[in-house]
Amino acid sequence: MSYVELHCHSNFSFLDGASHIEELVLRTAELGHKALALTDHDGLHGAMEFAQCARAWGVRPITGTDITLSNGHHLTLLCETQQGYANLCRLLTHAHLDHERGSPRVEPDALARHTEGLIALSGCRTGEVPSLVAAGRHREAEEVARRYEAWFGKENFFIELQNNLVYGDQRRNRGLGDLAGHIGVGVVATGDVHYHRRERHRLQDVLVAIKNRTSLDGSHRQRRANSEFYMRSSAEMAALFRDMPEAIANTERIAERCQFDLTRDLNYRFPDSPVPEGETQQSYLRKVCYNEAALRYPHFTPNIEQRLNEELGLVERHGLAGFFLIHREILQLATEVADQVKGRPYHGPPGRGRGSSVGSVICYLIGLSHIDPIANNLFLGRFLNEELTTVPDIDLDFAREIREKLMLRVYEHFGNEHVGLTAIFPTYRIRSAVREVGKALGLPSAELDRLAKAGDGFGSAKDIREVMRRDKHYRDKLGSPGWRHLADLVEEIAGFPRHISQHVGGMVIASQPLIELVPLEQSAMEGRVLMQWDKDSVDDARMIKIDFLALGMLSAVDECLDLIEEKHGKRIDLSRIDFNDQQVYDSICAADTMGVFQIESRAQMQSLPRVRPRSLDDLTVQVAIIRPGPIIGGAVNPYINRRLKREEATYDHPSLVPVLEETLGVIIFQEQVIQVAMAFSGFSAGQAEELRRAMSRKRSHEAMTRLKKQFIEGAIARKASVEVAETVFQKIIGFAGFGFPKSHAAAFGLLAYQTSWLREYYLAESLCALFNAQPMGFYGPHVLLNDGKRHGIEVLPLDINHSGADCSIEGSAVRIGMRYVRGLSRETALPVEAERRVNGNFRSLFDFLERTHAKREAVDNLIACGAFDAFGLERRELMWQLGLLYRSEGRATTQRQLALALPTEQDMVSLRPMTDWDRMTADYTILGMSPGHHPMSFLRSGLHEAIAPTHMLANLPDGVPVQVAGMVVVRQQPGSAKGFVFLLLEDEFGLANIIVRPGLYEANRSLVRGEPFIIVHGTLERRDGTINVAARGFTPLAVTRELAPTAHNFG
Amino acid sequence: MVADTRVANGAGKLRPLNQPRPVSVEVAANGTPLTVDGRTVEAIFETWRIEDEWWRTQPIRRMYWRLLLEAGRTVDVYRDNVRNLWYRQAYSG
Repeated sequence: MSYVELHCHSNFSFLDGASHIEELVLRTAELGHKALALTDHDGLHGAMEFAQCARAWGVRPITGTDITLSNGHHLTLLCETQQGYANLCRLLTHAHLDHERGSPRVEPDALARHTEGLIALSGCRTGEVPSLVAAGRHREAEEVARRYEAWFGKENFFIELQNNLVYGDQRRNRGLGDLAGHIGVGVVATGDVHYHRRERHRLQDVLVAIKNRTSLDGSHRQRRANSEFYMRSSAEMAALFRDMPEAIANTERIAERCQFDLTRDLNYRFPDSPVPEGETQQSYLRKVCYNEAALRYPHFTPNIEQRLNEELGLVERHGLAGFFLIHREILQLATEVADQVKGRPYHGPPGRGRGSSVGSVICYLIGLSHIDPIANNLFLGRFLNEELTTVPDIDLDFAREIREKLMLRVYEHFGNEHVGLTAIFPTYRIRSAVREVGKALGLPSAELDRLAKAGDGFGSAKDIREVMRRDKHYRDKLGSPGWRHLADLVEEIAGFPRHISQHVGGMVIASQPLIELVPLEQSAMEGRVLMQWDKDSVDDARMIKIDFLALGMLSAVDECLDLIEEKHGKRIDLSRIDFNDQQVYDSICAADTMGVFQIESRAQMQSLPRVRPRSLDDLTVQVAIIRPGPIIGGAVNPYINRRLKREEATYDHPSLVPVLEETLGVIIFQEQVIQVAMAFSGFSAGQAEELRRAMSRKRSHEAMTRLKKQFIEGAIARKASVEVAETVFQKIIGFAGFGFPKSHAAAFGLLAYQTSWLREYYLAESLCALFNAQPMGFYGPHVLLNDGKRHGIEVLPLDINHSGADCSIEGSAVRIGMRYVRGLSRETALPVEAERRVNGNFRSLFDFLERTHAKREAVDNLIACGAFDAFGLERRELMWQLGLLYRSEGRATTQRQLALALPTEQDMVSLRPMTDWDRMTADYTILGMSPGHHPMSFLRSGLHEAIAPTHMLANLPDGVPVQVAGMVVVRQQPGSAKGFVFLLLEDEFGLANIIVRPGLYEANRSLVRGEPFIIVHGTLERRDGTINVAARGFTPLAVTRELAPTAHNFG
Repeated sequence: MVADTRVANGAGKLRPLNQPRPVSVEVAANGTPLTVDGRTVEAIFETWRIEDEWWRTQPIRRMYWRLLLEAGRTVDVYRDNVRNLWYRQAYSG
């Protein structure tokens, strides 16, 4: 007799299910079950992933859930029809939105109104009917069962029987069987599956301990009694229910009825945009594009017209006219929002497109992109092609302040029921896994913390054994049971979703209410509502997702233009600057690019003097090349060598020449993967796009295997050898999904040039805008400040009568703003600025306190960093005054009651003035930067004379031993760097790039990771215009840790 | 007042309630008990399994049976699957 599992939890039953969806599906297929119902708790978070995976493995997916009722009991619901699915989504939305976040509950009246198309099973041991039967309360159990029967219908309600060899199961099942017979409803057996194989019960126990924030010992009552909650075979289930074969037979009968297929029956429709009378979506789009083309293309050539018509044809074929018109509508909303935010008409486009959409002429014409794809020879096929198996993806970048308000406007404009934010599911990586699993196991927390830190920030939990073996202390521990359990379980929990969170800016818009398509739940952010699906599920559902992204640099550029207009009286149009200014390219090639978009990072600065970009096309390559794709794909060095004419461009096959000629024979752009597959293996654009997507998604193992086979066969059919086909395929895989489309790189390259241009000609305004846009970029504000000073920009300290809430321009200098003071923020500093503007400068500390009621901590810090220096008193004396002026009211130290109008002479003491070191230390501690001195300027005199200042390194020849000292401002361990670690060291003169090879890093791990000031002993390396120090050893510099602002650590 | 029984204190005679007691069990080929301390098993009311403390050196792995013995007596027995021994112990969940 065949069995189908109708009650199964994956790890999307957060901290309860102990198997991945794929593991459950594969086990189902191995056991020969024809179908499987996924019934995660109170949600459909994994439902689409499950449906896709099950189909791929020949298992029929049944969509369902295990809901929690208002009385705390559970009920199992399965979708029979599309109406049932819509009802389920409504029920789950109600459960989440109408109750406290994290405690979804379904009210009885809501359940009663949403039963059509659903089959209900009475639930696990915590189901209401089973609980009552187990407690001997048979009359009440019958009442409840009859109520469900009345709501769902006799044919749609079943008594659920579970036998996991838990004490009481068999007795309860006998009672439930009697009840079912008495009221005339069917019985069905389920496994209450929580893991695919028995061995996983250990991880399930650990998850329960984590969920209850305790150890395994402390969660005895919450844990399951045994390891019997695994996926069973038909024979095993038949044996457990040998006295009730009907319960087994009904599993297949129910499964047969549940024909709703999430991969096919979702019925999502993208909304149409309102168009003038007499027009269709398509005709109106065509009209808009032609009107706009007349403006943007004064010479509307046949070539341009052909390209436009080709795109319009594809749009019509795929029914996407409304999609583009809706985006145009959103941009119009964005313009309105931008005007409101600025308080005046906004200059320039309110947002910029990025990604493959920048390759579309239609996107250019309707204002979604600011790059002419025809002039820049951008590839359309990645974005729009004949087959188009997924919907086009448009990402829009906005300045932060515009984006926040725009998203709210989109809700208002389209209606709250029609708009939803996409979710993400943060997963267990090595650090979180070690800490949480270790705590559950009761291992010492100090040891766990040290082990967690030994693992790399974003490292996979699957690397745990390697991390433990690297350290002798933990290597020895692997022999002991507790730590061995830790290693096993951390490996198993790798990649498990931990909880639901909000994706940064993905929104879905639908014509029908979204709550019939996917359940919504409350976000952690007040007032926001999430879909229970992430972007991959949204993609699989072919929903149109728009990404509203906040680009800090756009905020900075906006402000920079405002500052320039304020000071110089002219509004610069960045679309009309000279894009061929060689002075700007000189700075770029010299890697003088701190604060410049996309080309400021340490890796970029290393490659700029080698690649030497001299045009926007070159910058497009520059932006794209320092990405994991080209790096792991081995494209970077060959590209550079070929550009420097040290070697010839080579091609694995003649068909690749037209595709890769532009990039000297190597794959740099994401769409080149598509173009290679088309040219070399004869893939269609749609097939090639499927290959590209499969490479970048986690749910694609089966797809990748199939596509590789097609790729090799296609290549052979076009007369390539198997070896060459394998080589080319490996290059594609090495690239994987981690590269930029050319259109995206072009959009970013343009912004890189524009920000370089601003830096070149308006450095003070650029620096000021960057200060106000933090946090963003590669470098902390202290590094930007020191770079600005080295370029001759004066940075003025805080002054209570000159500083605004924000940093500002004063003459040709930059004045630090109050927002940087610890204890103050922009929001709390604005009223201070307003008070001074309205009622004049502050006359004394007392006057300031009286007028602003600022908190004690903030005033202390303002004094300490010199904001009141202009009053002529020593800082320590002012702090003393402050102490006299404040008197606590009870325990509240922020309360202030003036004891005296002014301190009297007998209250004053003589205090040692702050030294320059003290002031500098206070600046770094309070502001995170110092306009005065760099710490190394004080330490220099105590250093050995052999230690070279950074600006002297340029005078030294290649290969000489060298020592250099400084503050570590960046630490980087890129995943693509094979264990190498890179440091940026800053002294009072500049920066030095330090390369630490893997062995040296391992031997000095805690020093390299933790010391803020170090001396590096190494060898100078000069390569193609770059200067590095290859480290051989380190000595820490004994300086107080509180002095150093936190370095930016990457990887 | 209780009269003096004149019996010496017997602290050593105290024993905790419901400790597992070793029993001798004959089993069928599939592991099901047939006799318990020589008494025939008439029926099996219920079976259940307990597995716990797998993280310790002495985990708990037991298979329980609630049995009806001849002469109408009901007993709970379990097989300790770590030590391969049988015990009798009343179980209440």
